[in-house]
Formats: sequence, C-alpha cells, structure tokens
Amino acid sequence: MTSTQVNGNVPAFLNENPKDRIVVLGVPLPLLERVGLFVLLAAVVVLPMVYDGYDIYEFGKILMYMLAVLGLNLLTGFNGQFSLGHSAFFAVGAYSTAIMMDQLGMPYWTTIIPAAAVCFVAGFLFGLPALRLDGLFLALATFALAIATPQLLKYDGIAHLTGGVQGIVLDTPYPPAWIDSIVMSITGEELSVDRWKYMFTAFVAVIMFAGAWNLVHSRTGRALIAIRDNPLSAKTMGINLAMFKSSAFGVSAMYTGVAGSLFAIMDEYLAPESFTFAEAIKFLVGGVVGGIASLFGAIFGGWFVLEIPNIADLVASSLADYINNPQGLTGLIYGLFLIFTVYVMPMGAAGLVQILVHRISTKR
Amino acid sequence: MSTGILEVEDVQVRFGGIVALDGVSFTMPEGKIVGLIGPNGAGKTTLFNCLSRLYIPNDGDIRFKGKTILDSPPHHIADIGIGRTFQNLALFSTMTVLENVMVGGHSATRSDFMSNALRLPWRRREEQALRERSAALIDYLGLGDVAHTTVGGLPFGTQKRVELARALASEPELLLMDEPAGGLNHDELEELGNVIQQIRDERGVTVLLVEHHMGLVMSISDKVVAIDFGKKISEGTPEEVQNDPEVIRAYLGTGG
Ligand SMILES: Nc1ncnc2c1ncn2[C@@H]1O[C@H](COP(=O)(O)OP(=O)(O)OP(=O)(O)O)[C@@H](O)[C@H]1O
Ligand SMILES: [Mg+2]
Repeated sequence: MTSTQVNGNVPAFLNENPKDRIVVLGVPLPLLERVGLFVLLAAVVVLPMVYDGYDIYEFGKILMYMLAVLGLNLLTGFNGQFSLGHSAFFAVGAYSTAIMMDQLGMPYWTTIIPAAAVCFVAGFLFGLPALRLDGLFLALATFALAIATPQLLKYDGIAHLTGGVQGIVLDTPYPPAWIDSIVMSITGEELSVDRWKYMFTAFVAVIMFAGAWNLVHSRTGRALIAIRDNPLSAKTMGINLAMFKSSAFGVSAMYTGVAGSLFAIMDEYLAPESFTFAEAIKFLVGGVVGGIASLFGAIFGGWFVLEIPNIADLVASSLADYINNPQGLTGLIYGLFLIFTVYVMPMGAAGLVQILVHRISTKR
Repeated sequence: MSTGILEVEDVQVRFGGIVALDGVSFTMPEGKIVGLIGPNGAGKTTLFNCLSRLYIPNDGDIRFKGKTILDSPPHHIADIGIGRTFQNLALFSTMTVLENVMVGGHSATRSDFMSNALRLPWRRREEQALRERSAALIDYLGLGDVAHTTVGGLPFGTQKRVELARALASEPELLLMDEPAGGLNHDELEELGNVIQQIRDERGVTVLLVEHHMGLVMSISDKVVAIDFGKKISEGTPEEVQNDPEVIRAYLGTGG
C-alpha cells in the first residue's frame, strides 16, 4: 500500500505534543527535563571529585542497585512478567565476573561484556519455559530459582570454581595507568581505588541506562508494553510473544547480571550469602518505590534499597537512651519507612513527580 | 473452483458441547466489501478468531490468496496481509493513540532489540517513517486532536476508530471489522460507511464486515453472508439476503 504515504506533508499535530506545552513554574517542561537530565549527569561526573572513600563507594553502590532494579523494571514494569528470582541473575553476573578473573586471570574490565552475554542467555533460557506461566505461577517459579541459587553456589561439585561457602576473593580493580596519569596531570593527586571503582561503575551504568532508554522508546519497547497491556491483541498485530517475552527476560537478566558483575568488582569479594531471596526482594522493593514502569524511578529505587536500611539503623540506634537493645527495631523501622513510602507514593517516585508536575503546571 | 482472496471451506469450531461454527463455507472476492451478519451468538466473532488464527478450527480449511493460513502462527497473520479490529475494544490502554497505531505497524517494520538499544541510523529512519505514516492514518480518521492522548480514557466510538487506524497501519489486504459501528450516532454511522468504502476504493483493501446495524451493512456491502447457530443460512447480494425467508426467520426467531 503506497496510498498511505504522506510525501513530505506531515500532519501538524505529529510534532505538537500537548505535553511539550506544559509550563512548570515558568519553565517549559521539555526544557526542565533537559536541565534535569544535565544536572543528573553532571552530578554523576562531579561526585568522585568531591567524595572519596566510603562515601563514593556508597554512590557506586546506588548506581549498581539502580542497574539491578532497572533490569527488573524492564521485565515487570514494561513487559508485565513477574520475577521474585532476580537474585539468581545477579549471582550469575557476579560469579561470571569472579570466575573469569579468578580462574582465567582476565582483567576485571574485560569481564563485563562476557558476563552480560552469559546473563542474557541464562535469562532467555529461563524465559522460555516461563512463557507457559502466568502471574502468580511465574512468581512461584522465579521464587524457586531464588532459593535454589545460594544452595547451588555452595554445591561441592562446583566449589573449585565458586569457592563454595567461602566464596572468592578478587583482585583489586586498579585504574588503568593512562587514566591514572590523566587524573594525576589534572589534579596532581593519585586516583584512589574507591574513586575509580565509582567511575567505572558509573561509566557502565550510564551506557546501560541510555541503552534501556533507547530500547523502551522504540518498536521493541512498544511491543513489550503492548504485550503487557493486551497480549492477544499484540499477537494479532504481528508481535511474536514467545520471542519478545523471552528476550525481555534475557535483557532483564543481563541488566541485573551486570549489576552483579559490578558488585563483585566493587567489593573484591563474593560469597553465596549475598545472593539470597532477600536480594531479589530488594530489587522488587526498589522497582516499586521508584515506579515499576519507569527508568528514572530505578535511580530512586537504587538509593532507597541501599540507604533506607542504613537510615533505619541510625534511627534505631538513636533510640538507645530510651529502649534496651534498639537494634532489634531496625527491621520494624525499615518496614514503617516502606509502608509510609508506598502510602505517600502509590505510583512510586516517578508517579509522584508526575503528579507534582501536573499540580504546579500551567498550559501555554 | 472459486478464486477469492479468502476462501473459507467447511470450517467447524466446537467448544466442548457447543458447536460455534458448523461447516461454514464462502469465498470473498478481492477488492469487495462482504457483510457477515447473524443474530447474537451466531458464530461471527468465532469465525474472525479463526481468520486471525487465535482459534484453530476443528475441521475445514481457510485459504488466503490460495494458501492455507492454518499452519501459520497467529503473529504471522498480520504479515500475510490480514488485519482486524475487535468487537470489544482491544487497544493498548496505557499507550497514546499514536503509539497504538504505531504498534499496528509492527509487522511492517523490522528493527530489533540490538538496533534499537544502539539507536542505529537506519532504525531511526524506519521509526520516523512509521511515525509519519501513522500520523497520516490518524489524520485520515479524524483523530488528530487526540493523537497524543492515552487511549484508555477516550470515548468508545473514538477508540473504535483508533482500532481501525491501528489495523490499517499493518497495510492489510484483507481487513476484518468486528462491529465497528458500536456506540456511533447517526452521523458518525454514515461517515463510517464512507470510510469503509474509501478503504476499499482508494486502498484496494478487501473488507469483511460484521455488523448488527443492517442499514450500514446493506448499503455498503457488495455481498452478504448470513449465519445462524454456526451454519450459513444465506449468501448473495444485499437484496437477496435481506429478502431470504431463512434470514428473516433467524432474526425474528431470536428476537433480534
Ligand atoms: N472461547 C469460547 N469458549 C466457549 N464458547 C465460546 C467461546 N467463544 C465463543 N463461544 C460460543 O460460541 C458461540 C458463538 O459466539 P460468537 O462470539 O462467535 O458469536 P457472535 O456471532 O460474534 O455474536 P455477537 O453478535 O453477540 O457478537 C456462542 O454460543 C458463544 O458462547
Ligand atoms: Mg461477536
């Protein structure tokens, strides 16, 4: 059919999205979004210049958790498939990197791409049988995966690779000499390992975030959302459900898996205890509080799952004057924080931002 | 033998004890509008679901351009050239009108996970072309004002038109429309009739139209097929079918 061609005269409404005419406190929304993105990127770049040591390590951890949460958001938020087992893919990524470093002597930075590939394949393969499972049954199957993982990692038969219960101690990821010398020539200081770990993590995280953004805003992203919204109708539109759903599982596992790789590199150590069901729940919590069908929400989610337990701990310790053994209350306080958060932001942080923008905006 | 763009041959569909389609046969001449009528529960939507391969007939064959479609998976049907709209809205409710129509163009585009994640130049061109083509369809169906609106909250009749635009985005040769007139007022009904005729005349699309609104079916169809309780009871020109005693009895008998 060629009669639908428009030959250059595109209808005007195509490039007149009413959203672009929204003004927030005198600033047009598209401009605000751009400034926001710039500030965010600038912050990522500036942080290691300001912070060092444990502080910058924490920021790196936030980005690492953001990636893990992002992986789950792609699957659950955009494609509508549940997973309570993403700790398994987190483990696959972490152990892939660790084994490549430990057994094959590969430098840490060369392990990211192969680990990503391994996780994609693992996710894709798990996604195939998962096609037959819906909703709660998929949740159960992934749950089984999550509880099996630490057991498998401890299994004697593969202990020579995984280090069994002891885990694996890894080499320190020193910055490459050329980066060190660039930093030296600019600042006159040596680049600390903590700062470098953050920079490496941020580099990977920003690239992967951009990839996810492109993916979501494309034919592929529309197909994933279409499947979530109405699978039957998606099929009729020519979308291959099996291919897209298992690929979504693969991509999702890849994101969470690369987060695992970064985890291993950052901590220079890994053991089965880091990959329990609790970790999978952390990702889910991060996804929900950030906004499960949002990419930027994953940043908030990453911060939340890392920092709120610490804050809960602080609050608990501050009660020491009034209560015996207040550390026992940490879990309770964390729970209260969580309930409060989902109560205030039922659509996650991303949803709250949307509502706020809507409240204080005017139309041009 | 008959040579239509679509040949439905002796199709039978059973759901447990219910025989929803009981040996229905007819052919559709290319470039025509065929009306498919029948009282509630006659089996019209069931036939549509067979044509889009969501159901597999227990017996019989369906051939599109001479080739059976029964060995194609459902997601190939749009590729083959068969598009459809749904009786009960089946839009992607969280997406905008534009995005819905662009999903309709899924089978006419090729970019994959890798090229999209990397935002390769060719896929950006493809995306832009699809956007413009979808916009043209939206314009054509008078949906420009709501192009960027999420479909979930739109009125029923508007959503029906979005379904039509979405189906056209796959550039079908055969278009299946399941009760497109639902929820339309008199003027909109007349406009819909014109649009369907335009789709046939300007785009050369063959249309299979299921509709309870007899005025619409009889005024625009080149041929009408009537079914009742899963059996074909009449076939011919609108006049012939309208005056067929079997058809009259079927409608009076069920109170339709
Ligand atoms: N998936 C199904 N499972 C069981 N029975 C079904 C199914 N789909 C349709 N039927 C039955 O098959 C028969 C035909 O239904 P169908 O929806 O095709 O009728 P229709 O002609 O489209 O009716 P209407 O005009 O009300 O839309 C009905 O008796 C219906 O209950
Ligand atoms: Mg029906």
